[in-house]
Amino acid sequence: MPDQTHKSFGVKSALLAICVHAAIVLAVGVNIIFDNVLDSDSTSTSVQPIQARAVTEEAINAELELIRQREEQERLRILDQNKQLEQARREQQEAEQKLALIESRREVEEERIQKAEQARQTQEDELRELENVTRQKQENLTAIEKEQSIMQTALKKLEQEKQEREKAAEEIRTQELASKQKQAEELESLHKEKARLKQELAQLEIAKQERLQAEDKRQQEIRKEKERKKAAAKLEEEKKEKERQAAIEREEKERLAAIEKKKRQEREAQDKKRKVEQAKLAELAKAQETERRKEEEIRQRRIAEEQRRNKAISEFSKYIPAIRNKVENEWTVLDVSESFKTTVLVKIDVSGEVMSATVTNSSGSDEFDRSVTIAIRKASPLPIPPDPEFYNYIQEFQFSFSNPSS
Amino acid sequence: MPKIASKFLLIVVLLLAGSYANAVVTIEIDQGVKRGIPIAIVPFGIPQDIDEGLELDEVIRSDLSRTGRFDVKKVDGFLQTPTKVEDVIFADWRLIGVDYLVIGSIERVDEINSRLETRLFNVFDEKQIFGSQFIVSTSNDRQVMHRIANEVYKRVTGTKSSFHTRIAYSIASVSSENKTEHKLVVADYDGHNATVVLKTDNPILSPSWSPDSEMITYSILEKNQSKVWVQKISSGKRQVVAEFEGQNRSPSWSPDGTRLAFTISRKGNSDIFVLTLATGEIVQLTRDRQIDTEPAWSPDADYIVFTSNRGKGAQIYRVRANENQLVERMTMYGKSNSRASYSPSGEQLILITDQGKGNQVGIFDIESKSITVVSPTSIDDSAVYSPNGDMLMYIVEGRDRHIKILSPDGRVQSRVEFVEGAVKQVAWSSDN
Repeated sequence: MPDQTHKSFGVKSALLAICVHAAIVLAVGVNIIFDNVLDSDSTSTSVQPIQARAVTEEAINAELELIRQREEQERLRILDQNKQLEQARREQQEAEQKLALIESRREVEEERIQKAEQARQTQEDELRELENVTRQKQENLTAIEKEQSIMQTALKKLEQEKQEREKAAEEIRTQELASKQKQAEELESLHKEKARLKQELAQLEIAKQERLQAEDKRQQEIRKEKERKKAAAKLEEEKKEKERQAAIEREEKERLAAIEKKKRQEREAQDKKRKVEQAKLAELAKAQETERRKEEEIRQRRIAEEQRRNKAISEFSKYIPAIRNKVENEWTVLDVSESFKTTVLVKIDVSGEVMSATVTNSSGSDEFDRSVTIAIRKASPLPIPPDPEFYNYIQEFQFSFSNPSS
Repeated sequence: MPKIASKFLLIVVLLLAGSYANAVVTIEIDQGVKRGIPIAIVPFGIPQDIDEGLELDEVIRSDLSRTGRFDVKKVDGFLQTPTKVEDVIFADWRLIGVDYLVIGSIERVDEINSRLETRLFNVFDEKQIFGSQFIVSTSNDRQVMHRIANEVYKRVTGTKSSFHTRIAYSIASVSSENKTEHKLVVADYDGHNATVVLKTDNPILSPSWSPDSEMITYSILEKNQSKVWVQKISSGKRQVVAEFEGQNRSPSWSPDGTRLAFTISRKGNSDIFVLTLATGEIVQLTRDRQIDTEPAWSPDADYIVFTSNRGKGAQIYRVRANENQLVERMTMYGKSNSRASYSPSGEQLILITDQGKGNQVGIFDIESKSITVVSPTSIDDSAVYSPNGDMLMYIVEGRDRHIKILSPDGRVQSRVEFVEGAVKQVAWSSDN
């Protein structure tokens, strides 16, 4: 939509410019014509001595008619010039409209900036979500500020253009005023020379026609030149606009690049963080592996230990009947009717000497428990495998005493 | 994943730990030796001015020895004779094979009284099991010793003993006038402190203690009729409780003290009756043409055992105390079995059995119906259990009739002293 308006504004302004230029060319052309006419008049006056000629009434009338026609033409031309002035005013208006347009464009631009701002904010939000980095925000702000300053310079430029255009319009006006005065003077001289000119009108007519034709041609060329120039100016302007757009785009790109950079940095930071975490995990895994190995080692050691223990116990079990015999011989049974059971944990030294005999599960009868511990004590030293290698595994064992079934 | 791994490892560790815990070797012991528990009772420390011949500690040694449950070490084998805790060298006592040690010391309090302090130790863990203090005088010193012996017995064997109880026995002696005297004597269980509670011209038979040990029942044969008497020991007051037609004999006090079982004999027939003391009512329990005699109550008072010749020879039967005519034969073996009475547990009977070697003391096991002869002699009579079953007592007949105490396993026997005269029958008081 803004593009279309922009386009239509462009077309309109182009047409307006063409019209203005055409008016200027016309005015200039009239001047030239008059100058030539006067020049040729003076030269002809100086070169050709006035001769008394026989002029018929008809010829004078015809010449008068011609002058009238020329006057008419002149009037039309002035009208035309007025029209052109009008047109110049309109052009100025249009230039103002264009300014308004530029203003609106600026608004559009501002809107875009606003959008960009919104985008930036969204970006910021994103960034904030990722990490509350205020630095980024500041950077974005400065970027926007830069953009705004660029926009201000652009506005300044537009303002300058407007001023230039006004100046040009002023120039045209002054030129027109000058030409009006000249025209008045010319009219006067024309009136003065009317009679003199009447004579030469017919002759001059042909030359004039020829001159007009040449002038037309020249004007066309000038117009063409102007158009070319205008086209070039337009191109220049478009180029400038493009550059400005490009600058904005670049700015935007830079901003985006900055955002991208920020994002990349964040990504990199995250990557780094992830890497650190991975490293940590790896370390943990390694530690666990070490732990596992250690446990495995412990397990293996335990198994080996278990095997040694089993061997020790199987060796020890050969001595159990002897131990039992010795303890039974030392146990003076109590004549009690209740059935008692006592468990005693025994610790022996390497020679089988009983170091301690602790009741771990009492029969409930102190006397029964005591009879049991005394029996174990009295049976000390207990017969055990002489190999001290087994001692570790047999240094602690249990006795379970129950009174004899009578 | 690491969690699972660690869990797995944990399980493994637990399994190993579990197997380790389960693998503690346990040695089962269910055989021992029946013998005296070795104990040393160190002579008590006595101040110089106290009679040296007193030897109170010997009372404890004798008490413990009589039960057969202790191997009471002889004093001359001691390596030391400590009287105070700090002097005890336990290793010395272990060295001579002692499990338990008793020490004590006496201090004079005044002219009559002394303070006795005693302690019992476990020689192996070197810990005191109990300590006690008594004020002793010549009037109670033996009783105090019996109490200490009871405590030692209890703390070592876990069961009660009867060293504090008394006995009653009847004796016949010839007086200076060449006349036969019959006496009922009450004494400490070991014969000391004997007191004649009844003196009569007629034979005193079958003494039996009341459950509170305050009264005695007996029968006295007078001319052609015997009557049942009840006598209070402390006062000597007595009265006839049964003088039914015929011979009223063999009274036995019921465990609750309200009734007496006794026999009434008429024309060669003797049956068991129960007399309710409060009312004088009697209930006949047996009706047999043969002789049923020597009734004795079971501890739960459900049964009365008696001797009967209703079968071949004398055997032991029992009848329900509350119902008539339901009689069971108990003893099946031996030429004759008689004079049965219950053990305190109610599981055995002590009786006089003739297994072909004369009359001996036997223990009849009610469940297995087996008889174990426990006396070494063969002229025995009147055997009884002590109230706590820790000793037996019986009379050895013959020219020198005397009372013997026997350990329940028969290994240890000792003569009851100070019995002057031919002892006829003996009864042991209750625990009270």
